[in-house]
Amino acid sequence: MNASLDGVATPYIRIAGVSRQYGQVRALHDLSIDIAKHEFIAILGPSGSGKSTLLRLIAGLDRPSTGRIFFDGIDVTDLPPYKRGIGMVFQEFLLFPHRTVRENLAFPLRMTNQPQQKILERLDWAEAILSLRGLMDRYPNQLSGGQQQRVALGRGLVTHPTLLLLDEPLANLDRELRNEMEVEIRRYQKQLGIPFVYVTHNQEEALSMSDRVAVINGGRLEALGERQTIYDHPPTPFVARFVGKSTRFDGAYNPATGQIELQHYNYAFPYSGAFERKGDVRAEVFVKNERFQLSPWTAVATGIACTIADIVLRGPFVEYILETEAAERIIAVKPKTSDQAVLGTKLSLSWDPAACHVFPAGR
Amino acid sequence: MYAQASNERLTKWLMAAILVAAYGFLYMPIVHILFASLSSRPNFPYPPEFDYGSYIRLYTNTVYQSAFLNSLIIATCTSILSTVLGFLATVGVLRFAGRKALVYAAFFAGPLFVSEILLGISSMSLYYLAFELQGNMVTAIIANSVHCFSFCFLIMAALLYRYDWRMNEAAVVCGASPVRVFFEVMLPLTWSGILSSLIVAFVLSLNGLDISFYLLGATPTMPSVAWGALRYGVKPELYALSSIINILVFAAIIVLYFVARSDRQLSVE
Repeated sequence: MNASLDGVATPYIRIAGVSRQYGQVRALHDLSIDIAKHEFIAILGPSGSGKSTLLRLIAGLDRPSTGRIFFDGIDVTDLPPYKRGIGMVFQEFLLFPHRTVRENLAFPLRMTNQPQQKILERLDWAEAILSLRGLMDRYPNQLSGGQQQRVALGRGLVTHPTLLLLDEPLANLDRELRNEMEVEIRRYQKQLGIPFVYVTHNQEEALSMSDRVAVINGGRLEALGERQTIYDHPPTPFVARFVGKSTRFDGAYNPATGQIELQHYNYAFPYSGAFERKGDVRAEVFVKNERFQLSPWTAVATGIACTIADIVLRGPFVEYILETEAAERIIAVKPKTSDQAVLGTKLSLSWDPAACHVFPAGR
Repeated sequence: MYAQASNERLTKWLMAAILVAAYGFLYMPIVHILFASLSSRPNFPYPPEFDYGSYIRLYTNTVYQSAFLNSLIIATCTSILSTVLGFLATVGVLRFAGRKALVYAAFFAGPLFVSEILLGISSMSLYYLAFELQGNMVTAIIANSVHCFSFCFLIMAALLYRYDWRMNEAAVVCGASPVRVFFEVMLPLTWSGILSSLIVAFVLSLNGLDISFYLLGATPTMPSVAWGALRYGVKPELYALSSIINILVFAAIIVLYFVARSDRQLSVE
């Protein structure tokens, strides 16, 4: 799967060296992404990272300062949005309040001058696939949030667009509905076989739905890769912090022992990666919360000494809130087991050296 | 307890009396003119003795007729011109002005505070100086539009303030060209503001004496004919004319009322 994605000869969507400058502010900086035809790609970044700007550039709602955008080999950089043949779903849904569900769904079909027969066909299709039966003659303000979201999706998909752009479409829904829609949206993408570009600040959404994840920070592309790779092997400290739930430690590389020694704790682990500079070099260490190993504290234990301050049940998982001797709190996630841990129990916290991510932090 | 109840009743009656007095103050002159126009004794029409003679004379009076027609033309053209300009200004201020929106808005609303007579005189001399334009219908329409523009701008800005401009983006990514975005999405969602602006500009320029007076010279409009008539003694036709204008204006206000109501329903639903 990885090979087919990396070895795309002519990508379906090509974003080539795109920048966007607003006065003195650089919203996007020389950004390039290729998207394959059947791909679900998530653009993940914190607010203000430029991810929505990127989406607007792809939609044509904004023009790049430099760089070009290609759809299926055709340069669309100078085309207005209404000539790009795209679909788009907004966070606020933006259904037309003066039109019924049926009219909202028919709108893009009418705007692209489809024949009446085709319009009826596509409306039936949308009604069935989005389970909108019985809602077609309602007005948007008579629908629940989830129903409005499905209509918004339908309006984006009904013309069978070149690609679908989604701008945080689940941000206004409650948690349960969100999980449901994540599965639904991914199913539509697989059925339709068109690329979905999904902008979100929610890493769980990005990981649960997409094939590949592009992490954007400060207008720059921090990482681009398969979701599993991004999660397991974050290429930068930012990605390590932003994707998944991790704990950060300060440490230093000791070339004499070949180990990383943590700053506030009497804990060291072997490290085989390369540091650019010789000598004692500071390092940032990230450990995913579910990769911590916990064992009972003994006199010969080598891990970080800590006590259980609290236990949070999360369905099949348990979060152990651990307090270290440096009075810092660390969260360790473990599958729920039948044996009950007791608050105040002293434990030894450690991790597999291969499971953590170390970044040189300069001298 | 009984005293309290009677006190409440007294307050109620008192408030009702004040309300009646206030409405009386506002509407007595208008009702009086209506009575006078329908009476055979226009100078003291009470008790009324109905007679439609003044309306018939008005109908056969060519000066009044051409004045009515001129006023209608000026009012129609002015309301359309100032509404179009006001709409563009509103879009500019609400969409593109950003943090300086209030400054731009203040300058658009500014002409509101210039007196009409000053605007009339200065427009006359300016158009003549700059373009050697003699006063005619076109200059009257332009000068009236200057005056009405600010009203139109304020009315539409107040009503378009809550319009979600991202609706336009939602429409444009659906494949709608800018023209279709306007007619399919923006107009249906903002027509109440636009219609209110048209009506207010129409009424203002229909009744405005000063601006048209200085710019039109000999061409009669309703307010100028009415003003001229005053100098040669009030005739019953004038009462009839005033009544007709008042009825027109009231019809416009009733339309405005229903526009506002249907608009509120759309947003509350």
